[in-house]
Amino acid sequence: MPMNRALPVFLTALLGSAICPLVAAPGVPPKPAAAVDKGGGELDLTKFPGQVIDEVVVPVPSEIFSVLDKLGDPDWKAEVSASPKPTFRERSDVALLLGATVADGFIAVQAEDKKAVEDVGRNVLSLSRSLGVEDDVVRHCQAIDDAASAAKWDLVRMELDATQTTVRAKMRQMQDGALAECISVGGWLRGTQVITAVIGKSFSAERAELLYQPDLADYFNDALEEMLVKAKNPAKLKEIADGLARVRELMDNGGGDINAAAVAEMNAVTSALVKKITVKP
Amino acid sequence: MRRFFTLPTAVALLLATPLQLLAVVDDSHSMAMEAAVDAVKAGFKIRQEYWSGILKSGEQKMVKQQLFKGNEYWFFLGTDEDKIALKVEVLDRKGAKIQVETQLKPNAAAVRVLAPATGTYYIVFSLNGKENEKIPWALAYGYR
Repeated sequence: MPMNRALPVFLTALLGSAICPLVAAPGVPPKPAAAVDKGGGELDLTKFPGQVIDEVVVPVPSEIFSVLDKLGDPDWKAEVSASPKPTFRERSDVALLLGATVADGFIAVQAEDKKAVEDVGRNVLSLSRSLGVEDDVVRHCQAIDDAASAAKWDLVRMELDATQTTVRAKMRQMQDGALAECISVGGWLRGTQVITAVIGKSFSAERAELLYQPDLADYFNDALEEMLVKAKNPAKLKEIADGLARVRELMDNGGGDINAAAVAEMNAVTSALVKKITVKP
Repeated sequence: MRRFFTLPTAVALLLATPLQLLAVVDDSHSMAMEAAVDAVKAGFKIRQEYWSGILKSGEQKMVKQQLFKGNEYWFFLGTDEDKIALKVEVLDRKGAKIQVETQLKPNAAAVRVLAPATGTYYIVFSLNGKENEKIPWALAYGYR
């Protein structure tokens, strides 16, 4: 299940022009930097003369929807989820569902569907209660409700981002970082499902490029692996991890652009995974 | 060292990060946010989460980040130590610098980026002061 991290080459040009001036501080000699070109033309992070934070920064959902705003005006109403949310006991299940529900909120915002946004606010509060973080989230849910009533969609997006950030921060504070990543995984899968649906209906290479997120897929897969060890029901997480690995392969598409067939399969895979997350077996 | 926010900074912070910063003030982050005021006025949304730590003078750090073609980004590096030369750059997977604008301020440096393609990029930064000086830093970003 672990993904290949293909970062083979740290270019001489980079070391000469970009990095060396950074280390040439007064009294601090530049660090030696060996460049090994393995032919891939990409940076070899193991050769970076400094500290590399290995985990990729996960974007907030509104960054992705900000791009979608610029790609025309698809039928978002068709993508709004109206299905009732199940009740789970397992915390990883709740965290995955919370992430998917926050993503539902972004989709409802795209569709400018006040009722759907209000439903998301209520569901987020209920799921946060199950995770023991209701007190931290209630102010965001109230703000989501108020902003949706006033059709202040940018504000709703900001509060949805803030909700996810708050819950993730609280999870980490509770020494449960892997659970925090489950929230991101749930949101990312639901977001990818909807974005692939939208792109699939009106395919263009430019739109499909938005889906090229291999390091994020790797990162989420690693997070799921960590959860697999702790989970009472690892089978579900294993299925999600396997599906995620397939999505990762499709993103790379043999080194070529993401084509319509790849988008369609990504949609099929993520739809199946979202169903596992949002429907009780 | 601690500084007080200017009014525009305070407004920008309230708009961008309404709750978290009211509880705990990270002075290096405040410097980064002060550098972000113009970007906020220009419609950039500043992400609430930020990254911070301490670096030895001259050492570099790299953060990997997914960027999306079509979005515009500003990255803000701040420190609350004076007389520090800050440098921040954004590189693509092949190591080419992609920033289209750089701003240097007394306690902050910022770069603007238009991602040429969707994918992973590397934010590389360093802070240069006295030899062996340990320098606090904070890195934040905004997008539109």
